[in-house]
Amino acid sequence: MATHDKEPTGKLELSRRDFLKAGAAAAVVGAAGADLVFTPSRANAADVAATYVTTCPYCSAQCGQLVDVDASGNVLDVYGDPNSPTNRGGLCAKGAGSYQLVTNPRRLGVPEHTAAVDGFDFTGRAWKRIGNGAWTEMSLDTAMSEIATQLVSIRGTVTPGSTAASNAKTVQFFGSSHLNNEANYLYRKIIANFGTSLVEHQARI
Amino acid sequence: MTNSWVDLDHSTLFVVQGANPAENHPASIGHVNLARFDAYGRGRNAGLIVIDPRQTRTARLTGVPYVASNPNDQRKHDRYVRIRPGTNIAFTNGVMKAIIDWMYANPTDQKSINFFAWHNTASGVNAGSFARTFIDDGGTTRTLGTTQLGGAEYSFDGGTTWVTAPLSTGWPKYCDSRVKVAAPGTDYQRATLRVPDGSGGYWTFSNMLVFASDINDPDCVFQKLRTHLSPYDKATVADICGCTQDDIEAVAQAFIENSRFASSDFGAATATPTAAGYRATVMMYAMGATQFTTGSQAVRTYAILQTMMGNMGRIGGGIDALRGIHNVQGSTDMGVLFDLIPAYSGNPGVGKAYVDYSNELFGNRVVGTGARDAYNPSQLGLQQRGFYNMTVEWFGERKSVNSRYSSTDFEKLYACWPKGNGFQHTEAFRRMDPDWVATNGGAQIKAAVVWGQNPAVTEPHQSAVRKGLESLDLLVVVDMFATETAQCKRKSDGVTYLLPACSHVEEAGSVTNSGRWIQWRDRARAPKGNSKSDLELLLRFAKALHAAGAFSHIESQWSTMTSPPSGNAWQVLYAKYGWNGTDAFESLTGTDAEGVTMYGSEVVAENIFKEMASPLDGNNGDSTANAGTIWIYSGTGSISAYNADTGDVQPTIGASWGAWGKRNRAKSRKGAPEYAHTSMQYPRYGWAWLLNRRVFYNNSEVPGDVSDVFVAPGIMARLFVLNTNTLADWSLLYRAYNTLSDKPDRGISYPSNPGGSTPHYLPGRFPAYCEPFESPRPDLVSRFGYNTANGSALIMSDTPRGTVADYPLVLTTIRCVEHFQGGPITRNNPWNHEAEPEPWIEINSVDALKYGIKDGDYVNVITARSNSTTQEEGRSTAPSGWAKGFKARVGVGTLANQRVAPGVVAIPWHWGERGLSIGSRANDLTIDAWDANTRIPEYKVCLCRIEKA
Repeated sequence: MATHDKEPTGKLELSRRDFLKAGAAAAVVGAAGADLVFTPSRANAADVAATYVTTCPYCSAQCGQLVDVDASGNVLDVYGDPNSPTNRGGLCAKGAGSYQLVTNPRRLGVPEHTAAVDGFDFTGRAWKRIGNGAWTEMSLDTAMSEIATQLVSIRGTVTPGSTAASNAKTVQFFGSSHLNNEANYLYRKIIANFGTSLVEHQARI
Repeated sequence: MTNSWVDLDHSTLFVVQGANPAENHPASIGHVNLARFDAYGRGRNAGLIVIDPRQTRTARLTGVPYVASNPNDQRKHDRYVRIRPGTNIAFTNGVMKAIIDWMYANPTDQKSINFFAWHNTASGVNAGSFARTFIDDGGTTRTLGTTQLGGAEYSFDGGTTWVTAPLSTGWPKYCDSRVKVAAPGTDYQRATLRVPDGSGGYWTFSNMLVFASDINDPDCVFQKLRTHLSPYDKATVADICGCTQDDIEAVAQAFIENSRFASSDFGAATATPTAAGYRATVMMYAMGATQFTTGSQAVRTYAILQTMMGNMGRIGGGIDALRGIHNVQGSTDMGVLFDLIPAYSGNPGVGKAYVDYSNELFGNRVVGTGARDAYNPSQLGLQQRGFYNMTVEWFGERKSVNSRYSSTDFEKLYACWPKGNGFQHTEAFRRMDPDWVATNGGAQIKAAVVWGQNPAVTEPHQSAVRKGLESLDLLVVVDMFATETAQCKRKSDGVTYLLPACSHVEEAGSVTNSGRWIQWRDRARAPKGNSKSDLELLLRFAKALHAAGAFSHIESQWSTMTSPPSGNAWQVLYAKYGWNGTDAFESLTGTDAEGVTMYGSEVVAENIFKEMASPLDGNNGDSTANAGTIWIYSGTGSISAYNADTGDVQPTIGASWGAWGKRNRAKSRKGAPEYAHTSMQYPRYGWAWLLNRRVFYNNSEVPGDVSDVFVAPGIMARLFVLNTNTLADWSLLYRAYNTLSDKPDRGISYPSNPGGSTPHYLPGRFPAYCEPFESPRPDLVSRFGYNTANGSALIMSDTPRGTVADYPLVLTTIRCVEHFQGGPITRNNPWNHEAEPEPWIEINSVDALKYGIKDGDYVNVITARSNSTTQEEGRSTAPSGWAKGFKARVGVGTLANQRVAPGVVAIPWHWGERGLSIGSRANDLTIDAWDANTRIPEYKVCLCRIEKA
């Protein structure tokens, strides 16, 4: 049903016991060989309009996951892909919980967010604050425009050169292993185009 | 990983040293168990050895019953070995010494016979009949096989006199154990090699390596390694590590019995990984090996040990880095680091002209005799060609093959690359602090863009990080949650922006796992609410930067070109990815190579993947398809479709698209177990760089395979590394040698003074043990020293360092299955929060009694970095409020807790003060000393004291 992924206690909710069982199975494996146990989707088959293939957002085993979505685009469950040679449908405590990452009401920009979560209602499109003051909501394009103007101002002039091009040292970028390859590639390109090699991310952590 | 997650099915011994996969990579344990409990009915069972300061959940999998009457039941080697944090190198060096000693002590044992035959290149064992290809002094590519090697000669005086080169038995197939080391120990011995050209003349190769006739030569790499290991006798190592001498001997025996030399297919042309008598050891490691000032050398000990035992390039063998975040392999491939651009090319250096830079990349000689044309992509190879293509795609306009840029115009594009490196992250946060810059000089960082990271939890020595973040004029955070970084304390006029990213199921794209498998993610729905995909946010960011004039320097370059790109920077450099800057992003549509309709981020991701992963020489005149920029992701062959050539699969397993799966090979999902027990392993499930190889360094062992380009010199694995950048321009594919910077501060006296105060011999070239930067053993510091990077300090001078007198306990940081890294994507989930609601502290029952601590008591853990007696604003240990150090409950049955040794304290590092699940931040305590090569911080060991709260 359409409201499902807005309701943390919806009827299709993965039960806490199932979740803990999945975590325990992964963490305290037994002496029998079969620990890659497929747990099928909790979604009602009749509600599933499409099933998509993705990979788990946590560790670098990158287990295969399937995503059941209803006709309105609501995510009904995220569960292990039995076709994946890596995990054969099994997921650990984190992976089994990634459904809640998708449907989480604490996410920025989702309509379920409330001021009770972070002391501010982050249901908008972009936010800004001065010092430690209150956040103010703004449009994404306005935020991008302000950010870009300030970054260029702080960066100053860039001078290309075949052996001694300038390398702006006043703006530091941090990327992420949580981004897909294409996003990382695009991010790294923007940084090079911006005129700096000041970039780091979690691979060095 | 040199191998892959599913390849664990074939191992006969797992050595886990510095990882806890049962909690942090749980899927791997399924494969470990398949091998241990013989799910395939091969009649053999794999052993498990866990070497770790902590008796982890992985360690508790050791010690299962085994069948003593079955010689193929390797579970008899099961063992948990406890070592002191930071002593991996000492332990592994001790194991290597024990192995070599055993080989010499048991010369009639078949395993010893095999060991020496393999290292000596005995015919049929390590030689093979294959030839090697080099570039001669005239710049011509020459293949040297049996005929040429029969007449090979060296000259050590520039060509005046010639002596027979001991190469008639063939090239050493795998490693450099037989190569001679020059007297100073800084390089291999070099000479001019000449071989008969078959028509009365010679081909000559200057600067070639000198091979010994066997590994008994005192100058060869093997004997140098043996000498280097001499100080690591069992008594010394047991004292350093806090383990027993039996531990070292038992692990050495397990390696000997699970190496190539004990395997039933030793010397055979083809590996037989399903045979009961097959043997292969895999070493698994993670941050427990790397997060030290000697981390990269620790990993090198593993590489040397595994190479020496013939376990590299083997099904079920290898060294497997269990990397952290799901796409950390991909983000590293994309060069999101201060010293890299994508595909492992370094930043073009200051003073480095394009041709000189290109000449050092994998590829062809473009400087000197017989050089190719650096401005003609068809004359470039691999990494060079990818870099050429990337320069065009990043700073210019895509060209069809037949209308490339002139050299003058290409130089205008190369000039746009920023020259030189950025700052490692520890220094970057210091450089945000004006007071630090005033003292230390150099650049002042005034703005930071933090895209998908939470450094306010994950950076070491947080009080320095907090000061840096606070001082920024501008801070931009892009995340799914309002993280500690987004809500950090800021100066009064500092501006912070926060932008909402979406979840992993709402954005399409490829990700690369630890086994180098590239897998596609579908977009299951549009990003929820007002959240956006990273691709949309990035393109909007690029568009805004363009509008603000950020790319005007590139457009200025274009204005000086003879044949400039047509359009402005936004149009040329970004609109080509499929979004015009005005349409609703999620309403974009397109079709993929199979005719499937794509939406939103799928369209852009597909276009970028195509730019990255098309064949390097691939557009074949088709102006809509480009030549690939990421050479490790690219296929080869001139075809108009992208990423679509099956000819590079080793061996070829089918040419038709139906057989393959999808033209975008990351989308292929053929999960049936075809080829599952060969080196190919699910070749149509995703695609693995390099060349779809699932087992790396598989050096022509498998029929139809080719040699790995990463193996060097002259296509050969190295036990020895150089400390200078040497251009191997005689080698067909390998250009510049990698170097390592480690240099202990205690000097070198061994072997001229054996037993002397400084036991180091060729450190850096071979791994040398050093103490952690906060050590509980001053006596060992005075003998082994601390590590340096060729003399440069590995810590900021202003970082407080404690001594064992004030901080008598060793602190290590750990992780748990329920939470992830800096925490925002698990600490906000109710289930994860319920399963593991707060951090805890692990201490040994001996220390608990000593300090009067009972299970469930609150305890403060304090280091020299967290010893403030006044509340430090911006730091919190909610829900208990501000506390000195790290405050949490002591858990898991203190009175019987032997999970850590006496004198060791372990704390998890996932928590901070924002989110649903909150708690003390481990990185308030950790030290920001860094590794000499990778510059990863020494998160895993420092000194602390504890107080009952």
